[in-house]
Amino acid sequence: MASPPLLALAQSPPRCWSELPLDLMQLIFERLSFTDFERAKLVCSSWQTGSRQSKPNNKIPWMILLPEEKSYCLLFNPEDREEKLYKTGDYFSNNIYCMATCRSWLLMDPSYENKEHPVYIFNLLTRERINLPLTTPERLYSAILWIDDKTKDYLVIGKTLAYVKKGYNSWKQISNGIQNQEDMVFKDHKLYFLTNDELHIFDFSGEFPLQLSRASLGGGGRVDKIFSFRMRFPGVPWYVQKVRKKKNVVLTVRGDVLIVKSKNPAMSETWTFKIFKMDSSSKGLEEIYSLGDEAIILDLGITVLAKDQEGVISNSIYFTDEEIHWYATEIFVFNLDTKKVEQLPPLVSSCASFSRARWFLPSFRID
Amino acid sequence: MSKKIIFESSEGESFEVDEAVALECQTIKNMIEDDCTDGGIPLANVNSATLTKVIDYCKKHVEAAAAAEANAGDKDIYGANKDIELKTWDEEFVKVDQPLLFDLMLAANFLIIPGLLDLTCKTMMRGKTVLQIREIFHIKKDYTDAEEAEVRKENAWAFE
Repeated sequence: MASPPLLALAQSPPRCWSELPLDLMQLIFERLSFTDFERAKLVCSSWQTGSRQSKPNNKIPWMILLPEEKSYCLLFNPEDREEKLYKTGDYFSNNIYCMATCRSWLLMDPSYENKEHPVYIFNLLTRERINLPLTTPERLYSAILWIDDKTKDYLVIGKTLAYVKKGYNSWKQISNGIQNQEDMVFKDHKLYFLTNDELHIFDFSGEFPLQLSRASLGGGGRVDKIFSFRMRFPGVPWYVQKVRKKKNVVLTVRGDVLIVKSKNPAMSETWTFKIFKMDSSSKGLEEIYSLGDEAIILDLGITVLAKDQEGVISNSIYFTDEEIHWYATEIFVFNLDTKKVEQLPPLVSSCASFSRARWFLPSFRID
Repeated sequence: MSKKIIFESSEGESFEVDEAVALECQTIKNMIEDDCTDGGIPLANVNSATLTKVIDYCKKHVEAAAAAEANAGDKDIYGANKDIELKTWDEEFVKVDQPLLFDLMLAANFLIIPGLLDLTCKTMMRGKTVLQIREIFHIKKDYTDAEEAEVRKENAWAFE
């Protein structure tokens, strides 16, 4: 059947991209990556108007790299087709350390450069800065950051369970000092605090934190951590000769609690991973061998659904290790299907050798 | 023999498809459930070229879903489904000129095909510079330079 061209033309909807109906424009903007979105705003004024109504809604981990002796940071979005590192403005002082992230907020520690400088919270997108009370009990190293985008209520918890909230003028300490912290994760006002052999859960929703539970990881928790008096090979870096181990707690999108044990044997280039699910009934660990369509972002202690998220590899672990920091950060994506490390773009890998880096999950909308 | 559904494009051309394929469109699914598809479904705002593409897309995705289900025995508890082949197919599928991309997006929105809407929306912008977008989609810059600089200032690093 031949179609009369004139009729078809008359019936077709307006073809002008700058006059897209607002609802369709919003559908488009929600689906864009942040960088595509920022560019879309610049195309014309009607798109800019549309961009005020809706923001990208994707959940894709980005990487932030803090190159040594530099005051900017580099951002890597795995969604970009072309290999690209975005260089931000000169936001930071030199030798700054990022201890934790919460969406687009970063917890920055400038005290390596100057002890008098307070730890502060910084929003990468709005460049808002909030200083914490000066008297940090000790170096925080790893910490938890939680912040509300609207009220700017915040909570920072350090490795030794010292914490500070908005309005406090000094740090407070949870009384029962628990030793041997391995990792911690914060979700829905609950702190999941992992030691060598136990998982403690604290509730921070009230005025004072409350311990909710304490569960043993079961046997195999305490493994000899120190391999002292080992013969050292001259000429081989110490960190290659050392057995490196990490233990992390991960909360999945489906509500499970996972324990991830990572190990890098001495003289080995590769890390191995074992993943266990906390079984609340038997209080033990059950090893699992696949994450299905989820991916673990170890720096954040969460999983994301890789399905529908371009650039995220399912059944994989997004890993960084800073034990050898000041020299380099190890960053990679370990694919549990292939048991192999997925190659990051060369630009990122080369940069990692003189940067501190971590995966984070920026959020572009304020709900 | 599966049930057939007949679409009619804006030019009056008829397209016969399996019901399973038509069900990929939420709008049509609702119509089928309401039992008002006898005598064909006229799609006054979808032309033949677009409709052909839309049907291709739905067919492919129905087949892929069926194939995935057939392999379900191999899957773990979470039901991992890695369909790289389908992804590649999708990528090839949206390599079309911009008027057709525009029509596909409108059709996906009208017929409610979330996957196709996702695909077309992402494709139109991905990795393109502001100038490229204006050129490809024939959009006139209606900012003054000062206005543009103001918008650009917000997250300047994203425009590098």
